[in-house]
Amino acid sequence: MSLALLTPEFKIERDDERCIACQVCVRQCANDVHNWDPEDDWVYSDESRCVGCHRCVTLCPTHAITVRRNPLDFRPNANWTPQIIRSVFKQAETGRVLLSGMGCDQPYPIYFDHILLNASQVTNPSIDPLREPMELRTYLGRKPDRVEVVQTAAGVRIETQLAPQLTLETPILFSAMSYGSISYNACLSLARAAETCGILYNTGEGGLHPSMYQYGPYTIAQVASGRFGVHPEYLEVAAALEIKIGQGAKPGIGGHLPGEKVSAEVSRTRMIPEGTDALSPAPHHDIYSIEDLRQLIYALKEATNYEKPVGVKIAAVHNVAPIASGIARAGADYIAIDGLRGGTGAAPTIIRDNVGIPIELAIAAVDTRLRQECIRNQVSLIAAGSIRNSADVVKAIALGADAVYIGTAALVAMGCHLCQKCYTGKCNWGIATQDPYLTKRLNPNIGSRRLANLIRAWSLEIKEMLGGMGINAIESLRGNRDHLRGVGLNEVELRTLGIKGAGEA
Amino acid sequence: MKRIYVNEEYCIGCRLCEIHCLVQHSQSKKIIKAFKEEAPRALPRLLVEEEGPLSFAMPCRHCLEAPCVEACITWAMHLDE
Repeated sequence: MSLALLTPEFKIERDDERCIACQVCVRQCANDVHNWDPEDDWVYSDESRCVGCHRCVTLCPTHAITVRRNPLDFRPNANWTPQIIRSVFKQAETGRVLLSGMGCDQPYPIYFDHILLNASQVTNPSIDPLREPMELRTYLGRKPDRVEVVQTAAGVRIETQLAPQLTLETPILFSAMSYGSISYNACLSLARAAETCGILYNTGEGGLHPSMYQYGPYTIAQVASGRFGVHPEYLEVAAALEIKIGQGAKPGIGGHLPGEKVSAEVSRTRMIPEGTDALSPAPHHDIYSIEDLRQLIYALKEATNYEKPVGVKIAAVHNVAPIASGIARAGADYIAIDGLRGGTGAAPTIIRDNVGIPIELAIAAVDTRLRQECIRNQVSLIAAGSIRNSADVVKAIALGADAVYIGTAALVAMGCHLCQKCYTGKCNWGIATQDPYLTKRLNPNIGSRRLANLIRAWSLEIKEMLGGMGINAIESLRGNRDHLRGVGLNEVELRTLGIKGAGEA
Repeated sequence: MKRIYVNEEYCIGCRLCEIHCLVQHSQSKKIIKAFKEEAPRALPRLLVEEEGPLSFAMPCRHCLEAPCVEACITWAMHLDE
C-alpha cells in the first residue's frame, strides 16, 4: 500500500549538546530506530519504528535521549480515541488481527486501588515484625476436613493422611511464563530466584530444559492444551503439576508461539520441529466437562504416584465461582485464577482488552462460593492478574487467596519496560526473545538477584502491614475481609467483594 | 603461564566500556568534553571484539578502580583481586 496513515507513536528527542555519537543507542536498538551516518559522524533516528522500550534512554551514557509520546494531537473526541483510530488504520492497512503483549491496559476500575487496609490503634496492639516473629510460610494443597489424633504412651500421633502440600516461604509464586515466549536466561533467573526465596516458578507451556531439572523442587510443570514438552521425566522432576485451562489475558483463546521464536533449544524442549509455529488449541481436546477434567487430574496424579499436588489454572470469567467449585470437586489441589489484567506474550488486542473480569472480584466470588459449599479447605486459591505490589498481595489474600502469582512484576524486575511488543520477538531487554544477540542482555546472575530482591522487599512490607493490623501470621489474614474497606465503590461491588465501605465500623 | 579467559557469554557489545575507558584517559575526564572538545580525542585502552552475536572486551587490566568494569551493565567483566 502506498500511503500509510499511521504516524509515529513516539517522539525521540536527541540533545545535540549532549550526544557524543558513541552509537550505543544504534547498537542496542533491535528495531533499528537509530542510525549512524559515517559521513556526518552523527546519529539519526527513525521514530516510526520506536516502540518506547527505553533501552536507548537507559543506556545512553550522556542522557542525551528523551522518548516521549508523540505530542501529535488528534481532534479531541472522547469516543474516537487516538488508540481506536490507530487500530482502524492498522487493520485497514493489514487486514489482520491486532496482537499485543502484556496485560489489558484499558482504564477499567482497579479495585485494589479502591480497597484500604486496617491497622490497630489502642484497643488492640500492633506487632513490630523487627522484634517479634512473623509467619509468612504458606502451604498450598488440599487440607483435611478434620485432623484426627491418637493419644499413645509415646505421645500424640496424627491419624489423618495429609494430601501433598507445596511449601512457600512467602505467599508469592512466579506465574507461568514459557521457555519460548521468554528467553532461557529469563527462565533461569526465575528458577534461581525461586530457589533462593523458597518459592516456586512455573514452566508455562514451554516444557523444561534438561539443564534446569536441578531446580525441579522449585518448579510447577504446566500441562496445557498443546501438551508441549510433556514427558514422564518432566512430570517427575517438578514439585507440582498445573493443568492450564485458561489465561487472564486471553480467556477462551489458545496460544501461538511464532516459528521465529522456536529455536533449536526451544524445539528440543517443546518436542516440536524447529521453526514451526507452536499452536496451543483454545480448549483441551480431551476436556469438555468437569468430569473430563477430573480424568486428566487423576491421570496426572496416577502418573506421579499421588505424591504431587495437581492444580488447575483458569481465567477469571463471569461464572468463575461455579467453575471453581466444579474444579475443586474434580480433585484439584489448588486453583489459580488469572484476572482481566493478566499478562501474555501474545494475544489478540481485542480479546486482551475486552474479555474477563478483574481478579479482585473473581477471587472474592470464588472464596465466598467455596465457603458457602463448605469445600474451601479442599483447595488452595492462587490469585493472578496484575499483582503490582505488596499491598495488592495483602489485599488479594484478605479477599480469600492463599497465595498470588506474579508475572508482569517479575518481568519488570528483570528490566521489562512494558512496551507490549513481546510477540515480535525483538525484546530489547533480552526477555521475550530467542535472538542470540538479544538474549545475552539478561545475565541470569543479575536477573535472579533482582527477582530475589523484589520478593524479599515485598515480604518485608507484607510483614509490616500484617504487624500493623495486629496479625502475626499470614494464615490469620486469609479471607479476613474485616481488614478491608472500600472507597468509591457501589453497593454491588462492595457486596461482591464482601467488604464494608470505608467509615463503616 | 598466565592466561586471560574471557566470559563472552554476557558481553552484549554495547561498548560502554570503551566509552568510559576513553573518558578516563582524556584530559578533562568529562564525557561530553572528552568527545566533543578534546583534540586529538583520547583512545580507549580496551577493545570489544565482535563476530556475529559473539563479543567480548579485551581490557588492559591497568586500573585498580576500572571504569570499564563499572560501566558494564551485564557483569561481563569483573575485577578479581
